[in-house]
Amino acid sequence: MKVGDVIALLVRVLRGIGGTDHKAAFKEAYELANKSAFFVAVVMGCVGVIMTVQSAEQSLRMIGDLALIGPTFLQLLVRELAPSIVALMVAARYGAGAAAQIGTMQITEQIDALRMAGAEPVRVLVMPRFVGGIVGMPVLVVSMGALSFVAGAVAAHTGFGVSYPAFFNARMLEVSDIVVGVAKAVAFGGAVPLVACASGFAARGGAPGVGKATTTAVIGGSLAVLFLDLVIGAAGQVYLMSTRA
Amino acid sequence: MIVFDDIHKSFNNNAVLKGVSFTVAKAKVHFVMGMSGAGKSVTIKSIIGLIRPDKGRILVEGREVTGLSEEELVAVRARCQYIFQHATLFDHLTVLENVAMPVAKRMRVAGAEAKERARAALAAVHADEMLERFPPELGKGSQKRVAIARALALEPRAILYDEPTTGLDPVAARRIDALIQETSHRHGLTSMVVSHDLTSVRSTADHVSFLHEGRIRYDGSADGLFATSDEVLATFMHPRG
Amino acid sequence: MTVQGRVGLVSDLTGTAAVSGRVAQRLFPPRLDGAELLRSFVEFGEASIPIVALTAAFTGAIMVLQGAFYVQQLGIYDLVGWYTGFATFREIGPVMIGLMFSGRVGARHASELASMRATEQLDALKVLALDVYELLIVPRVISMTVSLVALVIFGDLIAIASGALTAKIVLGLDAAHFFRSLDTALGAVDVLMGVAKAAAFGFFIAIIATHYGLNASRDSAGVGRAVNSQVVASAIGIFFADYVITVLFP
Repeated sequence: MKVGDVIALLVRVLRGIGGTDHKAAFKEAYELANKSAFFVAVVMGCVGVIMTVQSAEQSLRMIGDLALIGPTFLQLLVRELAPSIVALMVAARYGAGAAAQIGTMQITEQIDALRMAGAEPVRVLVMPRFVGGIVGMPVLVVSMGALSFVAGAVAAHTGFGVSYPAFFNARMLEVSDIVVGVAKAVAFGGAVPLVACASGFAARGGAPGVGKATTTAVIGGSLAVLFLDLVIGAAGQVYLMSTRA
Repeated sequence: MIVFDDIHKSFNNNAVLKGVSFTVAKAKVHFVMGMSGAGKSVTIKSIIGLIRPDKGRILVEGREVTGLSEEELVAVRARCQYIFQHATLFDHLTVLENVAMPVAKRMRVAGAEAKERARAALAAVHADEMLERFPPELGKGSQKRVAIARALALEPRAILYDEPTTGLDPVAARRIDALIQETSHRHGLTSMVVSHDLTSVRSTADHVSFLHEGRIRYDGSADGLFATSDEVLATFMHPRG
Repeated sequence: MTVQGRVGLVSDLTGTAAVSGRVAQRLFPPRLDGAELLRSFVEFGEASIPIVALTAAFTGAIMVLQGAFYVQQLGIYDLVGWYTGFATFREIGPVMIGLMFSGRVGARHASELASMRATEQLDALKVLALDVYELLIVPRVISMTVSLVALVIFGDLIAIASGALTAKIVLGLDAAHFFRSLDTALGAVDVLMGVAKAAAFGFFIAIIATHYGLNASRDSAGVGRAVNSQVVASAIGIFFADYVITVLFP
């Protein structure tokens, strides 16, 4: 499966986006959020604690003052960590699952059967997942980001004695951070299912082919997330630096 | 050499074997026949402990093998080599490595010596030209021959074949039949073959046991089976289109 | 999480622990296939270099980019090199590269074992009295653990280089300045922490992938499901180990 296949799939999805089945899309959004919720919660909880501890140790070493660890963590979380880590986890859970599902359909010729029955596979299989992802990912990112922040606050309080009011301070958060974070969540929400579906369609050769498709979905999805993260992040920074400097 | 004594086996309340008894004589080619799902594979897999019977005993060379632990079964599996229906070679090893590796590990010989023995076994099954190929590249008939070479290289006393010709084109199937007969006679090996291939039975079998509805319905020579007047058996042996 | 989910979690944890036990049994004294050890170093370690390099390059750039505006506003150019090195070695390097490794190598190992189960190759090993742990699993556990440590160190260097390049392009920060600040405040502890994490991640990924591969269902969906479960469980394992090591280290 090459990048070209994913782009081609994206073009086809965007062209037909008006005709997406809303119910199916919402079902996929729910699937994405629900299936991954517990797993992502555990991961983001760990991330909250880890980042807070690292940040606290860093601050103690360099500045000697812990006043900023809450606000800086919040800014980092919104702009960077929550969208990307949640998206990477969703690629592993929901993306891999979708690729396995579609891959199995591909090797058992069910995709061809769909086409014979007059149901366009891209419309039936890909578009609900694409739209559902765009809707479901931001929801997951926001909720899990909040959970992560709370976990960090608890860690800062119990480990370093930082008071909750001092931690729950949004003074470093700006509108641009929220815009970038949401933009990333939306982009990731579309990219992860897209790559997963493309991987599934490319499955060949029996059960091992499905295994390979699943792997490709995870790796490809992760690389797509990193790439988009870089691009959107760079765009955000360039905007800031050129309008504010 | 192998004795089945009143074997019972059920899967999910479905009784497949309901008291199966027969004897596989030494150095003979013994066919176990029956319709699909009659439990033929179950009998053969029970000998080496891949399936455990619910009741009854199986004896190999006079010693009981039912109820042995995994460690104890190692000795049984050394003497009775099992050829899987789908050859089941290791995809990540070449043909030569597939045959040499078990020899090196099981018979504790050095790598070079193991390769020599593997080469000899592969020559015996006429598979010399494919030593460096990988199993997925080979046709099913060739894979079966390599599997037989793998078994031969371990110098067993009996070889158990699970549907060796099923799924093969007629030419490949006849080659396998010839190979089974050749190895049995040349090495004095006991060969137990599970099959429903009538051509194989006719050309290769010294003795046949026919499994029907969980019991042995016929136990005798191949010619006798083809000439039987038993209605059920006759329908199977002389299918009308 | 459903009751079934909870029961599944317990059996997965015990299963994974059982795998580690069986691996440990064959380490002292060592019983493993040398040929497979070498083969897996090449297939899992060496072949992962491109994707690790790509991931590391992205990650280094993202890290510098993330703070670029504030660096400019506050003029804290001195901290860029140091921060990048600190975060990379201690945290981002091991985790990101670990996740990629799990997605690529862990998934490959799990899917191979699951396929072998579905095609009766594992039964064939049993019938030939060959030990799948000795032949396949122990060599791969060792090679995956060692490979990931090497890959993380390699990736860390690439990430830092990428960060330096990004700093030059976006902030005009020259390389000498970047590396000087990295050099001064970074300690052996930071590198050691990263190495410890990499080793732990590699080991967990190998053990977890083995568990899900060996216990895959034999139907056609079994392989895909095994890979999916492996990737998810490894991610949890990585972040959990990360948390433990971070909290335990000074």
